[in-house]
Amino acid sequence: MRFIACLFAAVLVIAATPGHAVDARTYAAMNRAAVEGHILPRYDALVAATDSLEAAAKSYCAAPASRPIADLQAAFGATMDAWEDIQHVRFGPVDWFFRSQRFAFWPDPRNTIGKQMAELLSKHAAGSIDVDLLAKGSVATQGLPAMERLIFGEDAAKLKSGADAAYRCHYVEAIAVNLARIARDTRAAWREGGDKAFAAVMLDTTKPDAPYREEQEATLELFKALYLAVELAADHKLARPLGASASDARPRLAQAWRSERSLRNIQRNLLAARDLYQTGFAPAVADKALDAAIRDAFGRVLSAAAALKQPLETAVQDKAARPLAEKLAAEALALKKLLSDRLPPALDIPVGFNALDGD
Amino acid sequence: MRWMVTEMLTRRSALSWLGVTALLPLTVHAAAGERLYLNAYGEKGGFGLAAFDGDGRIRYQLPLPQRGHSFARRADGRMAVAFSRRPGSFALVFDPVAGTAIRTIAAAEDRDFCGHGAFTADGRLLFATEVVGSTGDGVLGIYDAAADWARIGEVATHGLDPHEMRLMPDGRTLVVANGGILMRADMPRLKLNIADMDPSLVYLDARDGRLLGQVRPATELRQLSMRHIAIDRLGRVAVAMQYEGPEGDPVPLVALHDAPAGAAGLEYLPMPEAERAGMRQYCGSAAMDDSGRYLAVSSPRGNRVLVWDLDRRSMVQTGEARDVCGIAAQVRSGFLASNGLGRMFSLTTETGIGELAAHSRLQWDNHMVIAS
Repeated sequence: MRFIACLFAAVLVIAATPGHAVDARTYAAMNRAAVEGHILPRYDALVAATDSLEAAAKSYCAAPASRPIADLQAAFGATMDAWEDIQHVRFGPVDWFFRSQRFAFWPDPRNTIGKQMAELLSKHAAGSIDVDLLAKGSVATQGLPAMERLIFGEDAAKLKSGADAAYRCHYVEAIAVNLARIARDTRAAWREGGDKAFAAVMLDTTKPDAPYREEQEATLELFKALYLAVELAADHKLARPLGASASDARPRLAQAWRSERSLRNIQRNLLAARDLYQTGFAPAVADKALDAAIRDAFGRVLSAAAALKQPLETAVQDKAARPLAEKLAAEALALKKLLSDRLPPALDIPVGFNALDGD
Repeated sequence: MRWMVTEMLTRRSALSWLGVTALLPLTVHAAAGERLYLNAYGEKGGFGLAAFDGDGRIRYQLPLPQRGHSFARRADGRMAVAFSRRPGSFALVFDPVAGTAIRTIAAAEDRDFCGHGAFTADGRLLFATEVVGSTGDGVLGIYDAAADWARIGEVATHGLDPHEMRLMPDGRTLVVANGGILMRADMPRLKLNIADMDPSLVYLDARDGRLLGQVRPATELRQLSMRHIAIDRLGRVAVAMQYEGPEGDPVPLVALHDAPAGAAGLEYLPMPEAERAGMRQYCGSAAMDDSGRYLAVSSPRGNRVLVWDLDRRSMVQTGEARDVCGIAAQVRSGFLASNGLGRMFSLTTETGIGELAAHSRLQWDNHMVIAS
């Protein structure tokens, strides 16, 4: 190889795509609308929900034998709502320090949560659980799924009486404190620090350390979040418990079967995706027929979810309800395909053929 | 299973093995005149593979039932295997010169192809990186070309998510990059252990699958998924990685491992911070040039190819092209590259990166491989 003496050859940019149909100002406007109108309010809501959960956990654990657990379960539900409303954002501060996984480790095909919780609970002689240690330990034992196991189903009674009741309540409180910290830290990193706040650096591509070099890159990140919300619902949260047939259905593969929230989570995910689309993307979609088709697809999938009147956990094995669950899965798939096939070209977002994870 | 393989392999003549080994190195095609390249592609309505010359002129295309990924090439250039993209259900054996399909290998029960593979030096056995669908564990499936490509066994890769593998220049050692990510067949492409990854580079004895060595990134870099490899003229293994952690972490993305030295750790190749950040934490493909001294690593997310002089340990070139990923050595010097928009490029330090051909109906897939 005859490399010439100069070590750095000129960088030649090859313009492999035709000129942008969408200009940088439009991308910037989309990004700002998505961040300010969709993401930030949802982290605010997550902080509020986890604060309430922390208060509810402390209140319940002050007198677990006499207080009803329903209030704590309701606060858990409100926190999971708030999380499912923003879980599709996997970039930025929630990606730091494994926050996303620590908040809600899912899916868990190896039952890591169950195994590691059993180990933690076997140490109840220790008396209390240190929140800092919990946060620095396994991602599986410190989030919503761990709390769900402690406060729903048969285990809920173990908070009230039994050898390790006090320890279990300490654990519930520690998780609640941990979740509130994660939510606050995430929101703070998005909002605080002036021009160092993630919202500011995400929207300003001119800084040398800006995470996105062009407005279009940030739009691509937002598109991935939009797509992820629908993809997880269609391919994982619905397809897995449904199986190929009623006899093949596996209700315990539903995301939150212990609290029977699996369908509700899917609804929150789809509503969140619709909000992100309408807030961030729709104003830039010039093709009004496409915009109408996407809105229609969201409408159909949400109607299908509303038509399912029983928990997903039982519907998948129920002769009468299963077709409704299948209809929901089909509508979710159709929406996913519409978003992946039509939206990137319409907005000139470069979803690379080769940029898929792991390839 | 492992014993069965051992038994079958030891029946082969060790002498014939060693005899062919001498023919192996990268120079084998230097005298062969025109070079033929392979690259899988997607197009409206389907997938396929194409063979083309050094100017990017397509010689033939073969359809594939699903999206392809990379290829294993037999040393004599008369046989090649295209692997489907993970989780892959098939591999296609074909004649890369004539452009004719020979046989389709279906993935074994509870096994998925990972998209890469390699032949033994004598061309008799084909190894393919595979995962056990129900557990995510990595294995090398072993196929016997002389027995109608029967799967005669498998050996562990000692890690999850094995991806690219190559035969080392000694003709006896296989090197495999374990991506370290837990994935399962029933949850396609979902990453299940990001906080708990364990990537590694492993060296296995091609004769019995014995583990000869394993090297891992330091604990704080365990989210560096080791995925693609190239071997330089000194037998050192270059590893191109993908970081699963936050976008802003300043992590190294390309490492060099001196395999014969074995015990040595990974040496991360230097790159200017602007270039490192520009890779977007994602390396897509790695290739050596004909001299075995210059390493090219592509990033389809960063829209660029970086080239290092491994003798000087210095980065010597950047070429930018959108969604560029496939790279392979050009005859004598420089690299050929392909991208997801159907373009082909030539990359040399003299001329920089320049477009050679445009096949606008095709989207070139991640890997370009020299066929003959």
